[in-house]
Amino acid sequence: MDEKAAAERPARAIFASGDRFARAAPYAGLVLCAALALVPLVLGDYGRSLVAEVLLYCIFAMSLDLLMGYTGLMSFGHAAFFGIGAYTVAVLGVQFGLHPLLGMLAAVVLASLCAAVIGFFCIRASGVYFIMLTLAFAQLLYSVVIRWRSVTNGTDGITSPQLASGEATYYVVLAFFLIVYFGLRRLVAAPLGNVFIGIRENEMRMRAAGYATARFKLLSFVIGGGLGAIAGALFALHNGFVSPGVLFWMLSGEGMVMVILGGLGTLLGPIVGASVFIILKHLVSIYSSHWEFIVGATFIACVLFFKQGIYGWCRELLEQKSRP
Amino acid sequence: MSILRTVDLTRSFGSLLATDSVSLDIQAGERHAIIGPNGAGKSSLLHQLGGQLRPSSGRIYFKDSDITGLGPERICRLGISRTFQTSNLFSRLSVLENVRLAVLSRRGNPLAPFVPLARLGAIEARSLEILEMVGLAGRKADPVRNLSYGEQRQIEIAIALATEPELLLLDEPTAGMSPAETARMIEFVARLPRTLTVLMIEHDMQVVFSLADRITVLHYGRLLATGTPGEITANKDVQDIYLGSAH
Repeated sequence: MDEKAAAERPARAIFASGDRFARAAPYAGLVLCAALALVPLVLGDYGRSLVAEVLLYCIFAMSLDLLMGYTGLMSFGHAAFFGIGAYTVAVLGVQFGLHPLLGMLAAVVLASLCAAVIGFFCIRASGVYFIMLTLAFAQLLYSVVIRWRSVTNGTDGITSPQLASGEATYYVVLAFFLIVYFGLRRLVAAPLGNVFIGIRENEMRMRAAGYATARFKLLSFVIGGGLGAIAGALFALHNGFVSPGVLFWMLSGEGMVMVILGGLGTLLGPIVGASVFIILKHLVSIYSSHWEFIVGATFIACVLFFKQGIYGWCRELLEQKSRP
Repeated sequence: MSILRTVDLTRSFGSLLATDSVSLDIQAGERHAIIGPNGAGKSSLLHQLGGQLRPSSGRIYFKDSDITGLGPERICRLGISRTFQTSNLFSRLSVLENVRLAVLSRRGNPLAPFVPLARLGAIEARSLEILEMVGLAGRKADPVRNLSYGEQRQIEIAIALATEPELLLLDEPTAGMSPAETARMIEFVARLPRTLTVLMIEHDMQVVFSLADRITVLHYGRLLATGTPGEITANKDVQDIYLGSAH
C-alpha cells in the first residue's frame, strides 16, 4: 500500500512533498494573502510601509532566485536591474511627467534590453568569471548614474513620482508581488522552467540532449532582469526618492544573501529570506547602527546550520513530523 | 548506405595526436565497435563525433552533410545521440524528470512558459514508454543519484534514445557493470531496432563480439584495422597489440 502511494506521488525528487505539507500549503497561502490584503487596515503607516518594502524586496529576491536557484547563474550584479527600474520611473517622471505606472512599463522594457546586452557577454563566461562580469556591468551602470548628473542628479539622487496615497502604493506592490510569485511558480513548473533546472543540474548533458543552452541562459537572464526592474520601479514608487545606492554592488550582495538565507531554488525561500533580512535590518537598526553585523551573523549561522536555507529547513522539519 | 563518414579526422593536444587521420565509414543500421588499448584515442574520437571536442583537421559527414565543428546541440538535433562513459545525468532530478527533459527536447516546445510540464500528457506518456523500455518505469519517482551504477547507465541510454537519434554513440556502455548487468545491457542493445545505427566504444571483448557487425581497432590515435569480427581476430597487427609482441 505504501509502495503504491509512493509510486503515485508526483515525481518531484528534489522537494518531494510530505502529504500534510502539500495539503496545508494552499490554505496557508490563502490566509497569508488575506492577511497581506488587510495590512493597511490593521497596521499603521509605519507597519504598512515596512510590509510594502518587504514585499518589493521579495520580488527582487524571487527574480534573482530564477537566475541563481533555478538556472544556476550566480549573478552578482542584480542591483543593475533594480537600479534601472528605479531610475527609469524617477527620471521619466521628473523629466517628462510620465505616470509612474507607465514609467514602470518602460522600466521593465529597458531593463530587459539591458539584460539582453549584459547577459550576451556574461553567459559566455562561467563560474567565478560570470560572477565578476555581472558585478562589473552593474558597477559600470553605477558609475554612469553618478557621472550623468544632468539626468540623474548624480550622488544627490532624484525624487520619484508617487501614487496618490501610501495605501494605493501598498496595493500596487502587493499586486505585483502576487503576479510575480504566481507567474514564476507557473514558469518553473513549465517546460521552460524545467529546461532552466536542467541547465543548473548539468549543462553539458542538456547540450548533448539538443538544447542550445546559451540561448536559454540568456532568456533566463532577461526574464530575471525584467522582474528585478519591477522591484526597483516599485521601490521608486514606495520610497519617492532614488539615489545611486540602488545600483551599488551592496544591493546585489544583499539580494544574494536573501536568496541563500531563505533557500535557493524554492521561490518561497527567497520570500522568507527577504522578509527576515528587511525586518532584521529595521528592527536591529533601531537599537544599533551595526545592523549589518547581526544580519551577517544570522547569515553565517543559516549557511552553516540550514544548508537549504530557512525555508528548506522548515520544510524538512514539517515533512519529518508528517511521516508516521 | 553510409550514415557517418570521417575523412582524415585529426585532433592534437599539443604534440600528442589523440586522433591521427582517422577515416571511418559507418553503414546505416550497423553495430560498429571501436576497440583499442587504453590511450588509443577512442574517447577523443567519440567526443569529436558528438561535438564535445573540435577536430583539429579533417571532416565529419553525417548522411552526407558536413557536421565538422558543430556544437553538441546541433549534432543532437541532426540525429546523433550519445551516452557518456561515466554517468553524466541530472543526478538530483527524478528518473522520470531525466528522461522527460530529453523527450521535451525532441517532441515538445521547451519555450512554453506557463503550462506545467507534468500536465503535457504526450510527453509524460512517451517518457514512461522509454522508461518501460529500459525497465526502470517502477522507479520513475526516485532521484537518479539513488539508483545503482548499472541503473544509471540505463538512464544514460534512455536519455540518448529519448532524443530519437538515427545514430547512437555508446561510450563504454558496460564499464563498471556486474556480469549480470553486462548481460542485460548486451541483450538490450541487441534488441534495438535496425533502423538505429549503433557505434560503440567498448573494452569488454565479450560485449564487442556478441554485438558488433564490424570492428575498428585504434592504436595510438591511428586506425589499425576495420573489418568483421572474424577478420579482426585473424589480423596479425591486432594480435600484436592485444597479445603483446610475443611472436
